[in-house]
Amino acid sequence: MPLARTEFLGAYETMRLIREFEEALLRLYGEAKVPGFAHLSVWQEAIPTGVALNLRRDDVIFSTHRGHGDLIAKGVALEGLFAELLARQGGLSRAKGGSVHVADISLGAFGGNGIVGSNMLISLGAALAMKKQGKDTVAVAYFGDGVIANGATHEALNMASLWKLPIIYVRTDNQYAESTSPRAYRGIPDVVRYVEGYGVYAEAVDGNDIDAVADAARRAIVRTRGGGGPSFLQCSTYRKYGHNTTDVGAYRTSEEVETWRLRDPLVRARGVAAAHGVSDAELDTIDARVVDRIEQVIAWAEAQPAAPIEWAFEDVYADPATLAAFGGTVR
Amino acid sequence: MTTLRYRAALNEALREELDRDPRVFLIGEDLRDPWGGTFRVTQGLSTDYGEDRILSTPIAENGFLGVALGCAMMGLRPVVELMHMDFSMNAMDMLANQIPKIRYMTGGQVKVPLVVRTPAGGYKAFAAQHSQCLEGLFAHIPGLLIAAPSTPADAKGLLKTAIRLDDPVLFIEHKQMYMLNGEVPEGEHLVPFGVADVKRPGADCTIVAWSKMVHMSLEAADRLAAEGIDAEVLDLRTLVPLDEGALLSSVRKTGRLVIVQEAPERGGYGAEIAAVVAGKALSSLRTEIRRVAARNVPLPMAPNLENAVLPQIESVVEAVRAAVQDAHPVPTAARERVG
Repeated sequence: MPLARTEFLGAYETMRLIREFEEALLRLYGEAKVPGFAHLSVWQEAIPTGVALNLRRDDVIFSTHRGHGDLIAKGVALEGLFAELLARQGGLSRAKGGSVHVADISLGAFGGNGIVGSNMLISLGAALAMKKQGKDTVAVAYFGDGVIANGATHEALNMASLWKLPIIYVRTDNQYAESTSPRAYRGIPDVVRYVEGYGVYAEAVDGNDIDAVADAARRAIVRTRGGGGPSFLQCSTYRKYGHNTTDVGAYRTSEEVETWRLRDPLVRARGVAAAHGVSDAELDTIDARVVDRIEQVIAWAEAQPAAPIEWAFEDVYADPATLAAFGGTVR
Repeated sequence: MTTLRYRAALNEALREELDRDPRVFLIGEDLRDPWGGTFRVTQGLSTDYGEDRILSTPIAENGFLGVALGCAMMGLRPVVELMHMDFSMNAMDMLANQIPKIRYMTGGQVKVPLVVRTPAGGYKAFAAQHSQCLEGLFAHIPGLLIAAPSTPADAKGLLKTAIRLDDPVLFIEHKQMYMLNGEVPEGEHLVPFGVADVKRPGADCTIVAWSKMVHMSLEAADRLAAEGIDAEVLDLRTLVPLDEGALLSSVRKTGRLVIVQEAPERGGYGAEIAAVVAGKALSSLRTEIRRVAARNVPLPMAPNLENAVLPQIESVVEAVRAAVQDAHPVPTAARERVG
C-alpha cells in the first residue's frame, strides 16, 4: 500500500535531510574540518525513513557504524548530531562517541556500535526489558549485510525466537561488507530462508522504494508490537560512497555504481510523486528548505567551542559511591 | 550472626536483593532448579521467584551478556552468572568493548547497573580451561569494577553492594571456597567497594591477597608466627577500586611487601600493586617487593603438576621469611641517600 500524501511528503523531507546532512559532512571532511572517520549512507535513506514512519517515540532503535540516517529518521536533533561529529560542546554524546557511537537515549536512539554484530544482542536485551516491563514498545536493530555471517546473529535470532521478543531486525543490504560482497561469506544465498530457519518472520523488500519499505515495516512492526514475536526485514540497497570517508570504493565497477544511481531513493520518490498527489514544485520547496536548514545547523555547530578537556575524565562511572571510592577521579 | 557457607551467603544476598528491588533479575546458564547453577549458588531461586526472574539461557555467553547489557540500558538491574571465569573469554566483546564503555561513549546518557558473577580458580584438577584467574585482564579495562571476596560475610556484603551500584561489576567468586563456612551478619549487610580489610594484623611484613589467596596467606602467617615472624594479611576485597590508602599504610608500617596472586605472575594484578607501592612508598621498603604467583604456564590437570604451578602455603612462608631475613635495618631509600 503506497504512502498517503502527507506521509509521503514527510518521508521525502526526512530522506532529503539525511542526504544533505551527509553530503555536507563529506564536504567538511574534504576541508579537514571533521576529526576521525564517518560511514555515509547516501542512497540508503529510504530504509530508516520507511521504518521510522511506523515507530513511536518510546520505541527504541539500535544502529550501526553507518547510523546517521537511523538517528535523523528517529527525530534526533541535527544540531546535537553535527556538534558531536565536529567534537564540539553541544554534541549529543559530549564529543566522546563521534560518528560511530552517537546516541540520543531520550529519543530512544540507543546509538551506533563500532563492533559488527554486537547490537544484534544488546537490542535484544532492550526487547527483553520491554517484555519484562509489560510495555507495548518494540526495539529495532539496524544492521549491515556482513552481520549475517557473525556468530552474534545466530545467538540473537535463536534467543529472539525462543523468548518471542518484540524486536525487528532490519538488514540494510548495501551489497558490500566493507569491500567484499557478503554473498562470498554465506553458504545459503537466500537470507530470508536463512532467517526463517530460526522461526523468525522474515520479508524481503526493495530498500530504495520508500513505499515498499514503509509498507513492509508497518506489517513487521504491527505484528511484533501485537505480541507476534521477532520480525526481520531484508532490505536491498547500495551505498553511493566507499565504506567510509577513507575509501573510494575501488572494488566496485563504475557500471555497477551507475546502475544504482538510477535507483537513488530520492530520484525514485520524485518519479512516483504525482501518483501520491505531490507536485515537483512541492518537492523543490522541500529541497530548498532542507538545504537552508543544514546550512544553519553547520553554522551553529561550527560556532560551538571545542569539547573541554575535563570531559575526557567524566562519564566513566555513574555511581556517587563509586566515584567517592575513586577519590573523584577515574583511576 | 549466623554460620553460612560461602555459596549460601551468596544465595542469601541474591534473595535479599530480589526481594528488595523488582528490577533485579538473574540471567545465565543452568540457573533453574533442580540444578540451581553449576555451583548451586542459585539453588531454590527459580522455584521461589519464577523462571522469568531467574532466566536460564542457551550456552551463548556473549549473547546473554549482550542481552543483560540491553536490559541494564533500559533500567533493569541484571545479575549475570558466567559458569566459569574462563568462559568470559567467549564474551569479551561485551565485557571489554561494550559493557564498560557504553556509558562513556554516550557521554553519560545511560547507566549500566550490571553484575557479572563468575567463579575463578584452580586447585581442583579442572585443567587449563576451567581454572583460570583472569582478574588482571579485566582490571586493565576502564569502566569495570572488580570484587573478589574471600569470606562468606564479604561475599554477601559485597554482592549486595554490587547489585546496588549503578556501574558494571565483575564479581569474582572462587570455586574452592563455595563450601567454606563463616560467620555472616543476618539481613542488611553492605560492604563498600574500595575498602580493604586487615584479616590479620602484624608488624613484620605485609601480605597482600584477595579471594582464596587470603586463606593461604593466613595459614602461612600462622606458620610464620611459630618462627616469631608477625605477618599482616591485607585482603583487598575489591581490586577496582583499589584501596591504596590501606595498602600504603600497611607497607609503611611493616617495611616489607609480599603479594600473593593465584594467576600467572606475568602481567598479573600483583604487578599493579607492586607498581603502586614502588611508586608511592619506595622509601618505606626495607627489602625488595616479592610476588608469589602461579608459574607462567597453562594449568595441568594432574594434581601434583597443578600444585607445582600454583602458589602454595609454603611458598608464601618462604617469601615472607626471605623478606624478613634479607631486610635492611633501615628503608632502602634512606640507605641510598646515606650511601
